[in-house]
Amino acid sequence: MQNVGWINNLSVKASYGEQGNDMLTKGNDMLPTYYAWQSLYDLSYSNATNIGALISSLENQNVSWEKSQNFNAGFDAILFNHRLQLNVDFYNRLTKNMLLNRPMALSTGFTGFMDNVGDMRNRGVEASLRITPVRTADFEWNITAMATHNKNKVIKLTKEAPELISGVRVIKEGMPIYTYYMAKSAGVDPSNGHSLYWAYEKDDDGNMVPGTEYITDSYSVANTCKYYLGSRQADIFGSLGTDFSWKGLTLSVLTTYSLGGKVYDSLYASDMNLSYLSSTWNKNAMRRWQKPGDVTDVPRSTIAESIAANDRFLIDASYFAIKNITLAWALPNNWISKLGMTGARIFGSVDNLALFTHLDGMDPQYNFSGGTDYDYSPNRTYTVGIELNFGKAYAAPAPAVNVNALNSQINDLRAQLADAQGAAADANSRLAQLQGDLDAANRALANCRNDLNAAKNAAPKVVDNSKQYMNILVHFPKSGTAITADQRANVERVAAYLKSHPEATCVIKGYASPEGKEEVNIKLANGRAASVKDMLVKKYGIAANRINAAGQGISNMFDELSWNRVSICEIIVK
Amino acid sequence: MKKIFKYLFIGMFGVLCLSSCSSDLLETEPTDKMSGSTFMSDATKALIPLNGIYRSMYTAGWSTTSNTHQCFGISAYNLMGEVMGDDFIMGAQGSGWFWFDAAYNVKGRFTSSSWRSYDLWMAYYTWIANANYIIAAEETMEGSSEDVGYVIGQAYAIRAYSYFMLAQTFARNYNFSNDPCVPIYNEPTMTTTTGQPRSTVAQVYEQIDNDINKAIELLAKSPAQRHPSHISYAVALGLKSRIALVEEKWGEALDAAQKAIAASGKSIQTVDASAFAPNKANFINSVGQGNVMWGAQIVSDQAGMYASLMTHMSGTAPYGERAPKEISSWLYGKMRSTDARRAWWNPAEGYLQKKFEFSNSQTWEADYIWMRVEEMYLNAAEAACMSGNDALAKEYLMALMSKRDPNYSTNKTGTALGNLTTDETGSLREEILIQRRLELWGEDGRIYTIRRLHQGFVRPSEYGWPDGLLLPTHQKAMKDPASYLWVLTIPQAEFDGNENMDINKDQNPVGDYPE
Repeated sequence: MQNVGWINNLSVKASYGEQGNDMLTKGNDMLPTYYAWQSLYDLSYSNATNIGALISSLENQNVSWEKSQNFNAGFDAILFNHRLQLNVDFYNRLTKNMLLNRPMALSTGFTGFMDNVGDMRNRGVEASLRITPVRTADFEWNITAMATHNKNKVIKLTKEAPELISGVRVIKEGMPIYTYYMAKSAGVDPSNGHSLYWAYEKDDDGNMVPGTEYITDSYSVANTCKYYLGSRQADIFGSLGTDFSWKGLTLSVLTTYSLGGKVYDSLYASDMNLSYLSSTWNKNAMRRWQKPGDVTDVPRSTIAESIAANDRFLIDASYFAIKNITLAWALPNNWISKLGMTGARIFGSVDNLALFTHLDGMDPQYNFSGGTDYDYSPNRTYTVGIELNFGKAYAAPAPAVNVNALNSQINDLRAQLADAQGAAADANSRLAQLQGDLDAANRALANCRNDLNAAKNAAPKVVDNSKQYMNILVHFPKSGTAITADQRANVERVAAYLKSHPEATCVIKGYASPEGKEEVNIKLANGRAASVKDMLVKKYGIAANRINAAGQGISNMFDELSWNRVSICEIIVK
Repeated sequence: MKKIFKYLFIGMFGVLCLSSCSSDLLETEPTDKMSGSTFMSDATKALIPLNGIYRSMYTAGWSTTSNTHQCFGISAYNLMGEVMGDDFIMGAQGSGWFWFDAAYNVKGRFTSSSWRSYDLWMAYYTWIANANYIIAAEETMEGSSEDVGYVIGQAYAIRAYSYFMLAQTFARNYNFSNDPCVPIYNEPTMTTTTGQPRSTVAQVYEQIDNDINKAIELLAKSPAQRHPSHISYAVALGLKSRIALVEEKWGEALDAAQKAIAASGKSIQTVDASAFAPNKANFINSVGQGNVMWGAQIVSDQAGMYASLMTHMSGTAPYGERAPKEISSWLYGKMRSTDARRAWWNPAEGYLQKKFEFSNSQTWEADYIWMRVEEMYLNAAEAACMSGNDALAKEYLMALMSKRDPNYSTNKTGTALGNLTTDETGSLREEILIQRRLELWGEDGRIYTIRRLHQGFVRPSEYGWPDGLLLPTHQKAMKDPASYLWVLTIPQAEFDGNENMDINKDQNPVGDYPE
């Protein structure tokens, strides 16, 4: 992986966990119910000055935790030199013992009670992608896209209550939770403007007999022939964003989107079928049927007409919202430092700029079960601001867009630093070694000087002809101290003689040619003498005390330079 | 040394973390609620759930999910019965409260949890469910037999009253004894309770009779009414007289009404015109008056404000002007010129009512009166007349009328009754009923009385009816006591939760007649 250049970071992850949840929200006050199992009386029913209480919940000792088993798996990747960032997560969440209201017959005095009514599964995939098409020193452009696809299904309900109906929604096995269940509109009768509905014949279990559908204008028949008509669940939803930054200027845009799903707009339904004299119609009411022959989708307005809740008011929930646009400019440091500031930023942003939906005025973001209510849609908000930083040693945070680039640069520099440090360490050890050699050389030089002085001051040396010398030369390459293969024979001659004449000793004098630095040459001379001694001792087993090896420094015995690169072995024969 | 302390400390800390309180000390009840078993243990504590039922009988907001301003308990349902009748006219729609009842436009809305079908069903069955819990503790409740009788007797009476109103609302009249009526529950509701199928009219009235007789028997041990909202012995007898009139058991009705008058200790009050003005106390807005047998005493912090009776009734209250309540001019014309009740309506203002006003409009205070002794006199008079005893009937009638009109007298006899409430036969029974319509105007739940008399009614615009309430499409049904015009549909929520009721087979006709 180290050499795969286009992957900067890649990680794979998986997790599994089981969580419990007893957070039931209770009715209109939206506070959690901690007492779902108890039979409780509500004490807020005082009768004049007497305490009074009315029963508010049924005892259910069997109610237990709602468990949710979550499995997540996914991977994160940063590719192409931090230009592309991809996160993908797959999840599977199984909710067991769902805590919901199980309906009771209203005539029992209760609308229902909290019970573990079944199991439900949410399974889906979330992905986010971030691309940097352009990154230069001054300019960067990023695009971020996120998407989620979720599939919800009710897995199991109890035998006693296989279908829980609540208004226009139903919880039924095998379907997403809060599937819409209502009459299906068949348009408007052009001859009299009545609402038409699809109806069907039923078998003994109350299910539709295939192939028996027909159209009726009776709303009471329509109320008994309902269809399952999808749910609020979107096919895919997420966000799209992009941002640009150039020097100190940044522009970012964030949008959100959702595709698929339906909303039952009950407010729209009531605006199309008014109850009160002074209420206002929705403008779609202008399309109503008015005379025989009109072909339209809005039935005629009739006083006290009974309408079955139907899918005319099921609206496609897809939407696209521009959530935020922000433009900001960080003033250059050299401008503001003159004013004594360490950072200044001017920004303007608009939140909730636009919401595009299938029906004007509908807010599909209201809740997950696809309802609507009288509440304010998110307001469009304009914000303008200036941020000034005074004081010292406060680094203005780098614009977020450059952090990745900076990080990669830092990492590169760190690598280089590591290399340089390694090299420096090597150099240091080498230096220490050289220093040691230099010291040795200096000592040797000092010895030589002493010897020279001694020799000068000493009596002339009498050549003792009784001693016999033999000189053997070992040549060395330029700047080298190692004994090359062709010179080995010379060393062997010395070794052979020494071996056969145990009383003989040897003096090895190493020389270097005059070019180059003196210190270096002294070292070479020493080395040349030493390497011959080494080979004699180690390779040929000559006793070290028979050999005296010393560098003699520079030699200019011969005009031919290469002849000066020698070790001269003087064998002293007694 | 230091290491020892460190290990010791960690060890002790760990051990301390492992200990916990015993489960006895675990408080499982929230601070604003109590669990049921504590209440039913003795008769004093059992008054708490009983008072809770009575409070809900005059409080709005719990029986529907919205439209709560027309759902403030018994008085609201009485008003609903009035606007559905022939004497009580809403001059204008206002914000729509009670208008849809008056226009007979609520039956189609049974799928909603905001309209009358859901409202009445939920209210009465809530009272039945709460009463069942109290009744179930009859054997185990501690306390003197008087105290226990006082509590249990009221629970039976509440159950009888609730089934009585349900039967009159969701089925046709008593004489259609095999018509499907409402489901009956006698046991406390548990999570295992399944929905019951519809019983017949005869079965429900049998339940009602058993319950009210049991209530009277138990309450007889402790006849004193400890609070004006409690159904005392006298009130239970009064309810029995109402039930018996519907069942046309005239002897029982007479007996019950007579006993109720005696047991109540109340007497007929005169109508003082000066008392029927805004911010004055009278026997329509104060329970302390000498003729009130049963009513809700509403203290100022429990007043319903907009969701209250006087807001709808009073012509001077902020809302009342937009939906004025008027008497039909036909009925007004039946009063003689010296009748003190003329103070209750002003012909110069379109027959606007003056009977119902706040006793203190600043604090929205006004009590609700649910039964007063005058009704008992009228019940007794009618029952006596129907039993053939015109003399006794006239006695009771004169007892009332002497306090209403000094010049009043009548020679009428007999029980003949017209097909319409505006048909005049000149019988004594009819005279008693006309005096009832005047006396109990706005209080009686008129449509229920019309039904039990097997009469029809008309709404001519010359009597003061506005266009929206003329009911042009219901003319036949208005005159036909066998129609389903005033039989309410059962709410959709019942069919959704009750496996023994099928919307195709068990729903009442949405129109005036079955399809």
